[in-house]
Amino acid sequence: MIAAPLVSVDKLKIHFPTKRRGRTVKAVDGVTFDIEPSTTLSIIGESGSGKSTLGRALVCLTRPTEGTVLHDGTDPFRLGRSALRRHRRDYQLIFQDPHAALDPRMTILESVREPLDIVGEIPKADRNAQAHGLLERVGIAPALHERYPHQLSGGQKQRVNIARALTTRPKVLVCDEVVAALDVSVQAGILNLFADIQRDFGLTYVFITHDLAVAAHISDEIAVMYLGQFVEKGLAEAVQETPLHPYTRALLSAEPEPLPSAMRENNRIVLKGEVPSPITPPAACRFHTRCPRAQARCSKDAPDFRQLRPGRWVACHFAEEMLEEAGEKAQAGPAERAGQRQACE
Amino acid sequence: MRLYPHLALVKDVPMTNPARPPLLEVKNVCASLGGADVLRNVNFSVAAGERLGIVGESGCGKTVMGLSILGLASSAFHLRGEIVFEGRNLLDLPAKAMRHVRGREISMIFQEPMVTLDPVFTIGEQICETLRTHFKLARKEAREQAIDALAQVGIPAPAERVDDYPHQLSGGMRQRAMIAIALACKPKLIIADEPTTALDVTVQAQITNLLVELSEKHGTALLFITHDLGVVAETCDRLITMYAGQVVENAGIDDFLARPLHPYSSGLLRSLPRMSKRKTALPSIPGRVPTVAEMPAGCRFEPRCSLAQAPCKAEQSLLPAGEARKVACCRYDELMLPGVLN
Amino acid sequence: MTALVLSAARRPVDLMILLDWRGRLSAAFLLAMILAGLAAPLIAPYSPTDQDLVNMLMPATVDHPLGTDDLGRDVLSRLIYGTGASLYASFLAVAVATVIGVPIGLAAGFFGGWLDDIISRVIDALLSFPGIVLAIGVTGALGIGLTNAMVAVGIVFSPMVARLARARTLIVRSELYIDAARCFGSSSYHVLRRHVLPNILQPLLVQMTLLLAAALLAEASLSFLGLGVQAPAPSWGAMLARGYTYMEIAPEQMYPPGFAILLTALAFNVLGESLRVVLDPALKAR
Repeated sequence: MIAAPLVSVDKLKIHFPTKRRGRTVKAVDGVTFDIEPSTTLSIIGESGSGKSTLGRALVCLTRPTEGTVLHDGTDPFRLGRSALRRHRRDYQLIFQDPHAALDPRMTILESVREPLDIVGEIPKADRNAQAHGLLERVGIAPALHERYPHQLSGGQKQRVNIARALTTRPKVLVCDEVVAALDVSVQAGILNLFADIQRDFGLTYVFITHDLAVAAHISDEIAVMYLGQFVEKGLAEAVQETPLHPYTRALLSAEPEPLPSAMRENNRIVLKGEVPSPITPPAACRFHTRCPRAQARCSKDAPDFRQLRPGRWVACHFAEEMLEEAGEKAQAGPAERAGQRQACE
Repeated sequence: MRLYPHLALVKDVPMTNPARPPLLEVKNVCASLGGADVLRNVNFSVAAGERLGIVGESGCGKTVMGLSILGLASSAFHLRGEIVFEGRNLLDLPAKAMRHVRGREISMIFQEPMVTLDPVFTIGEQICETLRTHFKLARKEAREQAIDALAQVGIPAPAERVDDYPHQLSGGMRQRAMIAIALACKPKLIIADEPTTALDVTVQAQITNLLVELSEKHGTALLFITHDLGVVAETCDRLITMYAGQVVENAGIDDFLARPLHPYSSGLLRSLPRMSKRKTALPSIPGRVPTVAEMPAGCRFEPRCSLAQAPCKAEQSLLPAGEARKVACCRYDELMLPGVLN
Repeated sequence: MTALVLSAARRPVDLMILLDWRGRLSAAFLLAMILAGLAAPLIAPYSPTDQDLVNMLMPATVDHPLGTDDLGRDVLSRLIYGTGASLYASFLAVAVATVIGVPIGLAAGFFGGWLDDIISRVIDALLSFPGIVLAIGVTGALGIGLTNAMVAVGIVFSPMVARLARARTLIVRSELYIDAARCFGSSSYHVLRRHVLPNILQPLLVQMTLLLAAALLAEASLSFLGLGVQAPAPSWGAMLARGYTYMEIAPEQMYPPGFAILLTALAFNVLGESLRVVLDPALKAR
């Protein structure tokens, strides 16, 4: 069963002008990947990696500077204005700040009903019924439907945002740091909800997050982004167990884990310095300034983002070396797990 | 009944040395705001050189607790109880004596260094100001000590950075500068309120490592306020869990993670997404933290607790549960609550 | 409470219930003023134009509770008849300012770019003129008379409304809920009408009540200069202007129109402040 990719991103570049002429912020700088239907891809990165800009481009909120984002094989930016508006409904974005994403002057029922109001094809009573139904589906009791956003807790507001995104029956849901602003106990409930509605609605997710644990929990595939480029992409477990890019390794190692001292890894990799400016990213390999493995060639030629194994992409000169170091475990990894995943589905 | 074979793995670290007198002792501290208790009978102590974490979700009172120690909580909070630091009750201390304690003996690091650092003074001037407030130092000496402090927190080329303004530094460097200011007078206790929350993971690792290293080197005690259990596990020896203004558990970090005694602690640990539990439903805690106006009369966690029974309707006090361990749950010894390992 | 706020947007009666006591008092005062203006022939003791040249510039008496003016006309009657002209004048000016200013400000703030550059420059240029001079000029072009004078005042006020509308639109435009609305396929028109306009309305409404008060004073100034209400028709501004002439011999002539203007302007301001609180779902008492 080979389904066509639902989203296909090709050599995507998004540059923003800065106040100083001739200098641009290279938010996204040459990213290529596909998203298969009904899967979850997490895009992990630190601040300044361009992950949010990439997310906005996936739902046509930001126009590419170069390259294309194809939805089901069509370029939405080539559509006419009203065709683009209809098309957009299939690709929804949920934001990090659940409060700011709701109009403070509309009740939550009005907010959730709004996407239906815009189409206006069905009578108001039916629109109300649909909105009520979706709000209850995401766990908002009917007593709250006439409330205003400021009267709800953060978790409840995020549920309302999810309900609103679902009213258009989208194919793809891009979730930009959707749980970052929430407490852990609330976060767990929202993550469960995401998993449930993916099953019910057959959704495809793109989870944009800085939190490795969240990404690992929810996703089939993980892509790691650094300064506007993908450095590694593969099945979630494979990336977690045998990271093949030094940056992924450092990220995994830096993640604080709530484990007793005896079970924690003691020799964690702590990177030097911070993420360089996306206005003047380092030449060649962008990570070489902070990379513990860097050698002379890393500052001279940029490594290709290449497929090492089926579905496993890395941009590092030493990826093959690291793969060998990781040994048999990694070799058996991806393919076997791909099989397991399909069996699960 | 389940056994905990992995507990044998856990290093047997003495939690508090009984011979070592506590540096800071918080006794029955209550903070009320318009008649409602924001903090209720908070009790804990920090020994010299010890690193204690305070964890809890937003609205649990952990920040108010931290600010109260330094007398920085808003005057709208009415504070009762005792906060004893080296034999003196800080709540009774006159303002002048309190100023001497602040910065000199206890200092504080905040979440957002850009807001906490004054944008119109250089980093060096801000360190010198702290130093010259507490010690009789010549300008030149103070400047030398400031450069020294910046070097200690790992800021490269400190002799040049000392003349930088806060906006010229990156986020991680600003937090280092903040730590340098906090450490300048070699305080005995540092209160760090979410010091790494605004930082990226890789930078967070640098800062937590730095805090642990400096605390070990100078024997500085650390009170680490955070919502992140992972960060606490990596920096602290012991932690207290707060819920709705009360301490619900006080335990050594390894004991806590392996076998939490309070249902809320267990709920927190179990709700963390983890690699090993991929694609399974995460146990979440139903409901939400009660607001100040709607505090339950008995156990404050009881309305959300799936294990609550009749006795839980009564107010719970912090009960001793084994060596150096306390929990505010009347059912702790009959419950076997899961931690992070299962 | 929530249902009340919801319907308040549609039913002014509900709005009255939600206002605090200051707002209610102001609203009641203004309502009384409007009624007085409408019912002037019924409640005024005399005709506003009846002259009594024997009793000129009289202080208050039982027959004339507020005295008589320089032609012996009853001041109370003129004040009551003048209410209509003065309120009509201020509402007209603000309506003109709003109709011109809001769409221009919205367009400049929402679409930005060269459109915003041009509109902003024009607004800055207009605001740098002294308002009253501009109003005199525009009245000169349109012709003398109350309606023309107040249309002129409205045109002079419109850059202020436009500037505020633009500034608020710039803020609202960058809100996340605007992005969210675009995500589910809203057109620019829908976003403007459904999200931007309601969210910029509240500060605009406050600005409008301030402008109502300012327009009242502008009417007084223009009538004072002879460009507004034409004699013998009464208006507060015209009365104040006439009273001013006799300042030295009968200073009490200026009090009735002066206080009427002051109180009405104050009522507009207080009402504006109360409305601001009521119309913001996050600010209203919980």
